[in-house]
Amino acid sequence: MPKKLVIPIGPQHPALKEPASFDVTLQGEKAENILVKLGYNHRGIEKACETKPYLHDSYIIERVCGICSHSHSTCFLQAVEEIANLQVPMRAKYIRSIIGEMERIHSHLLWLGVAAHEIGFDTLLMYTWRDREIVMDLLALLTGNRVNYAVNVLGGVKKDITEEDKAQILKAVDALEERTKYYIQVCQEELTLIKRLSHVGYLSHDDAVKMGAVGPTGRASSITRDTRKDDPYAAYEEVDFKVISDDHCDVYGRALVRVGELMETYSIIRQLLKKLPATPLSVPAPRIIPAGEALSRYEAPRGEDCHYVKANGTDKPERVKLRAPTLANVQAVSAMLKKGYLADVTIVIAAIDPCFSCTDRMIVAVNDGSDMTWGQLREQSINWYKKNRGVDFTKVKLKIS
Amino acid sequence: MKKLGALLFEAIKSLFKKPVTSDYPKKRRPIHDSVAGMIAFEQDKCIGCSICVRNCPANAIKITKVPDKEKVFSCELSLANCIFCSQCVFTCPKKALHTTDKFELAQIDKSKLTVKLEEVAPYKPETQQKPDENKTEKVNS
Ligand code: SF4
Ligand code: SF4
Repeated sequence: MPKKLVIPIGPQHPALKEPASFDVTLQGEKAENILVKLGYNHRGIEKACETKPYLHDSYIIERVCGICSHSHSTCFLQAVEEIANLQVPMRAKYIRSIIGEMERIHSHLLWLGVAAHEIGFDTLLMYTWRDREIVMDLLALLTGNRVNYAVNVLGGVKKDITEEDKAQILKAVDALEERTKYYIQVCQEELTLIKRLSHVGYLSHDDAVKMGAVGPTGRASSITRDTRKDDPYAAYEEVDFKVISDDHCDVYGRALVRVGELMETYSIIRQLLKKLPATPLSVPAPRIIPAGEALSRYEAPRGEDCHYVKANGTDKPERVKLRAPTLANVQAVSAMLKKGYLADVTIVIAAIDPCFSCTDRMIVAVNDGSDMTWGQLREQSINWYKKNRGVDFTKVKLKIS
Repeated sequence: MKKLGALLFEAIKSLFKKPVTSDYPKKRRPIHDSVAGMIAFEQDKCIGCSICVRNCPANAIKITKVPDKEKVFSCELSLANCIFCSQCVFTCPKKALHTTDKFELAQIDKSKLTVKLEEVAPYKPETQQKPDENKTEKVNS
């Protein structure tokens, strides 16, 4: 039996925009097994949040991700507002949704460019990124910043949308819609794109459900799940839109879902602008948040984002826990890559639109410095449970190699 | 209809278009007035309540009393720390702080990153929307 070849992709690799590591075991040209290793980009944001007041936390949380910054800050603030029982004015909810949808446009266009780049189709990268500037400009106009918009505050938003802004937004959305129609046409017609992406990174519906894939990754495997529809937050209850899904189950399907979603996004923005209610922008928020806990969900461009906040009645949270969409999707990467070609690895990883800095976790092993074997670790945990919980796990059979 | 070169026509058309990128810093694209750049300060309005200091997430702003003067306060901003979130502008009860569209704020000398706002960025409503090029020292010049 010849020795298997293991190719490490990452932690530093030209195709990866952030450090993450994938060990690909090869059988000929095909990948037999993939080991996903995270943890190279851990920044300790959850812990940092525990040491700062809620107001500052919203800015730290905004920096979890450079692309879906608004998603994270809205998700976090929704949780805090629920604990504090703050009634966010309707106009603020509308503005949060509008900015959120713009963020989706810029994220999906960015993804389309990155995916095109990964398959060597750089012409498409240039055009999508050029058109993405339209929405980046719009974000700069509305919020003052191109990234990390800082529009959210506890209890509402800081920036308003004026009548002139509305006209500009509508004009930009029209331009973007026209471009997106063109990209949909390109996706449906261009043979290189279709051939390169079809049957690559196959994730069956059952596997997607089993692995908990979210967002466009799940929807491309016909999971019609979208937090905006299933558990409407902000102003999504007031708008009418379709959840785009696809049954290709491959990277091509994921591309179609994303461009299809863009068209829905334009319609959502138009509906929201038309109905924008005239209420104040924010309600005064207390510094001290009463004790309590809340879990908030938000459909970020990459999928469902969950934030858990536990308050202990001071001005700082006791615990903040976030589950970014990439953590839900990254498990599925190994299933997608099984029996795939080594050359497909980069595009398959890029197809989940990974954001490792959002996701990275760290485990600290606290011991006296000596290494422990799996057997010793198990013995220690059995003893711990016997002593502290009164449960005896000795009889549980477990094969440890 | 599936075909090869669906982007070809667009690519050829682009050859005859002007470049989208601008020749920065020689030419500047117009920027929106609403860009959240340097903070400007209206000394007359400030009452020294320090709410801005308390709410600043980046520890970037400092308010001190001007010695020998009654109820006059000085505002020091660390451009290296400031994340341009406008939280201070939003929460100032007297509207003494404003955002300006000055965004070219890099410096080679670190000490120049800490500025007294009443000196470098006093708030003047009529001139506020124009970036003041003389005041910000350009890195490459
Ligand atoms: S919040 Fe406004 S009034 Fe109070 S110290 Fe700051 S600048 Fe002065
Ligand atoms: S803009 Fe934000 S970071 Fe800068 S001084 Fe104001 S509150 Fe602090």
